[in-house]
Amino acid sequence: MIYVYGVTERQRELPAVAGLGGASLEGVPAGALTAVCSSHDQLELRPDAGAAWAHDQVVEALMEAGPVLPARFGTTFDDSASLARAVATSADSLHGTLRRVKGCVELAVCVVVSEQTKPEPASDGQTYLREMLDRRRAATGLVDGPLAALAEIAVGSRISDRRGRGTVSIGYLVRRRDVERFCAAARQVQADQPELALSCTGPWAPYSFSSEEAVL
Amino acid sequence: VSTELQQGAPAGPASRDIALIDLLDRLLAGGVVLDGDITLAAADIDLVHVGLRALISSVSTELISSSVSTEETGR
Repeated sequence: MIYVYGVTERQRELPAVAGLGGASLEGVPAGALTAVCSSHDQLELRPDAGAAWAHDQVVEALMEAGPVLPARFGTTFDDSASLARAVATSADSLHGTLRRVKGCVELAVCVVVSEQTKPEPASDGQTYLREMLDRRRAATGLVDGPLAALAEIAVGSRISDRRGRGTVSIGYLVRRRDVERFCAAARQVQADQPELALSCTGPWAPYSFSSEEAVL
Repeated sequence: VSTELQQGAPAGPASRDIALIDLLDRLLAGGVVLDGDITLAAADIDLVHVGLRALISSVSTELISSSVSTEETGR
């Protein structure tokens, strides 16, 4: 079984870091792209801290050498031939996305907007959808309003739907040279609006910007 | 309650947790989807999200401080 960490432009040398379970990295060429992976006889993959940091460490190391599209966590293939085929099939869009994230990193901003942490379960589908929409609207309002200074510096932004009510998580794609400026702006936003509980982590690989549709 | 965004602050336990949440969020929902298999069971992912929500709510009561994390991976 082959576990995939990410896709890069053609790599001659792989970074000297270990993959999941200490496995060594392999590069599978596909046209002008390389998929970076490791081979495993058996892989019990759980989304825990250890596996998460191990995956990220490989992606980080690849990012040192050039643009990288991290693979969705848990992506596996039977063998390198099927991996190479899959990469070749989406080569055009992968190239396009690599170009878009080149020279950029992702910064993760999380805002706790209310202390309401126990959402009552939506009673029916319609209510659920309405709540989703309301949350989305509130999050967009936050990005365009109180956090607008951040979007001005960033190349792009993406709101995560994955968090619970009262928490908004946003990924910003930021040019490396603008990271300091972005952090300063985040500190300013926090200073000006103490009622927002803001956190900012990164720089990360462009996890939220690695698929074509991921444009806000 | 005061919130601080300190750049380059040493990553304490709370900021490490925040960084881990941000990472898991991205690993599970982001990344490029290649035409392979996803080996994670859906049940695992649900569990993680329950965990994430619990964690973020406990963080929010303590108040989120910290910013650009210097995680153990050297970022």
